Amino acid sequence: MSGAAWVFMAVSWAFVIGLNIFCLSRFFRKRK
Amino acid sequence: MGETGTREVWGTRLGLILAASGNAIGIGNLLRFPGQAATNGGGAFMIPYIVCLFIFGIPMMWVAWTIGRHGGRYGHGSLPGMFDRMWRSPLAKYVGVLGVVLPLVFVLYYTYIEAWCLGYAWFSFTGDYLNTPGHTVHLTTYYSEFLGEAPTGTYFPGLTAAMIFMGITLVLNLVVLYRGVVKGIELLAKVAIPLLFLFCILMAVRVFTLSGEGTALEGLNFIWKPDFSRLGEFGVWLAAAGQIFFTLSIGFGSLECYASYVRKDDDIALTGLTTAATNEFVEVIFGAMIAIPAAAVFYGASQIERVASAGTYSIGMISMPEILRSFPSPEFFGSIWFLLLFFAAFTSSVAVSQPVMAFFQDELTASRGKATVWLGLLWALGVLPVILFYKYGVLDELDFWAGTVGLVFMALVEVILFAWVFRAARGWQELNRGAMIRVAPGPFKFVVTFITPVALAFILGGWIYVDVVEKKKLTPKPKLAIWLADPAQHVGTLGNAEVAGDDANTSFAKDFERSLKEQATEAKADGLIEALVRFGADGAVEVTNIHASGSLASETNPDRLERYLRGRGYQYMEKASSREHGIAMDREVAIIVTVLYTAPYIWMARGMILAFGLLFLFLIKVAWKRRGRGLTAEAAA
Repeated sequence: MSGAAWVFMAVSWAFVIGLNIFCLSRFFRKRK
Repeated sequence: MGETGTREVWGTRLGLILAASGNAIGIGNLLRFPGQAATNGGGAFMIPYIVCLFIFGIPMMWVAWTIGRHGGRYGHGSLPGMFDRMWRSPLAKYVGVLGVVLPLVFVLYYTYIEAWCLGYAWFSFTGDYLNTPGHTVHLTTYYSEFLGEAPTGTYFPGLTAAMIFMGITLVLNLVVLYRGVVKGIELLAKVAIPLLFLFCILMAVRVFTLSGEGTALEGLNFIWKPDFSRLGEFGVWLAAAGQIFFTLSIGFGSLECYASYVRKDDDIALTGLTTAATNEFVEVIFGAMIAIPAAAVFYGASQIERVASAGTYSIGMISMPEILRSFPSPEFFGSIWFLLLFFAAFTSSVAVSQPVMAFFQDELTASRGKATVWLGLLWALGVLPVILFYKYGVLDELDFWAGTVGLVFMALVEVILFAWVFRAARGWQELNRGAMIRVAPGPFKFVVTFITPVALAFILGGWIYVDVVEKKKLTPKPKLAIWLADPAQHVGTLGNAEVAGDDANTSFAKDFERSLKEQATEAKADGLIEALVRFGADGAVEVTNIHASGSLASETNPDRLERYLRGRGYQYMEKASSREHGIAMDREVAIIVTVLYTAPYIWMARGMILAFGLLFLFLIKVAWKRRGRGLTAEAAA
């Protein structure tokens, strides 16, 4: 697997995982 | 009219998110995405993909949730009522007919595909498509016979198996819908989505622990290796936009319907975003980890492109069984793979049917039982032509109008109504009421007012150009195919060798095909040529016996058929193993050439959509007339 492929896969994974973590963290945050 | 207070509401927020994610996660996440990414620039595809996610994917998600919760407040779970509440025009409810007819037409054929997955899960479990000594199962023919496309009946004598699995799928869907939003849809999502994740993990682990011709990493490389030169192509941007559109289930009216069961002050901003995020997780991570890496392991890196470009269903229903049956425990992993696809489709099909249920319940005040029976009748009646005339392209035709052009058109109408009629500022206020995240008003209003409509118009224009102008899809064309008459008797199949520049034969082959199609069109009937052909390992072709019938009855000249087969490079090929390219062999085989006259069936499919449209326009008229009378009576009392 080429370096560029690794980079694009890693960035894409980071994006979707980040988006999910953001949503989950807001989801479980206690409402004021 | 205010809140009705009689409609169901979601039991839990988690249940709602799982159900909405189940709506979005479908077969396309696991089969369509990796193929699209790999053939449209690899890793570079993610640039237009993420741009599209932000300029219309997530905005449309929020628009849909907002329209849905707003409509639900007034007791409407489908677009006719929702549009009527947003736009004070007598036309609004009639424009909303799209939000009932399109999902209904979509589920007709989508549940049939869902039924294939259920059927294949069963065939995997029973080992039906495994090769045994003296009985070779050609998976392409197996698939074509299951769907009634092949003229042979070696593996499936008729459409009975397809009908049975369609019947089971239909009943399962209706049971869930009958049980209602909480006890049906929400419960299904709570079981199916965790199972779907588990199956994805099991399949990914399986694929990455296999060893064969290539490695799974070569498959990942194929999907993710960026080709920046493709970013300038219109087609790549169109493909990315299309993928975002399909994957998020925008334009079906189902998100709006699910949102209508949310309480008026419950969050929709975070829920909408979480739905998109969960869907993206399954698509970008799991979607890329199963089918294409499996193809790389089995066929080797050099052949992944052939597998990926063969199309969504070919990867899922032909290549994956081929791969899985060549490794240990095909019954187990085959069942897991097809159950995974089945659950992905099941949670989507109940979601897409729910707007129709909601229309019957909310607008025609039908009980849930009555609504289920009415929907079931329409569904059963509508799916019959899809099954019986699949080979004539009825499924593709419905997909083109309802699942492609119709959806984008509806999303465009929806965003224009939202931003320009209901007004983006009011929409933003509605979205932010009770929100657990704050959506910035300026960018939101700008994007939904200008960017999203332009992006959707761009996709609609692009697809119409490609399908109508370039592919001339509006004119029904006869379908020509060539088959082995007795596939189970042969280890090999018919294959196309490279034609070594024999221009005369090649152009003859094209003329011959055109002539066969013209004969079918003139006679307005199907045609069939059956022949015994001796194929030589050196490329020789000799037709020893020929019989023709139907619209091709006059096509009995063996020389013409011989020249055609030579021109197209047809040979009888056997493979040393299913991984390798076939080798031409000396063999006499019986072949069948079929030409199907598709026009009546294509027009029937178009007529079906029109009939559903007229039926629901009439029902809308009746519903609003009744409502008008009800309000007058109330006022008089």
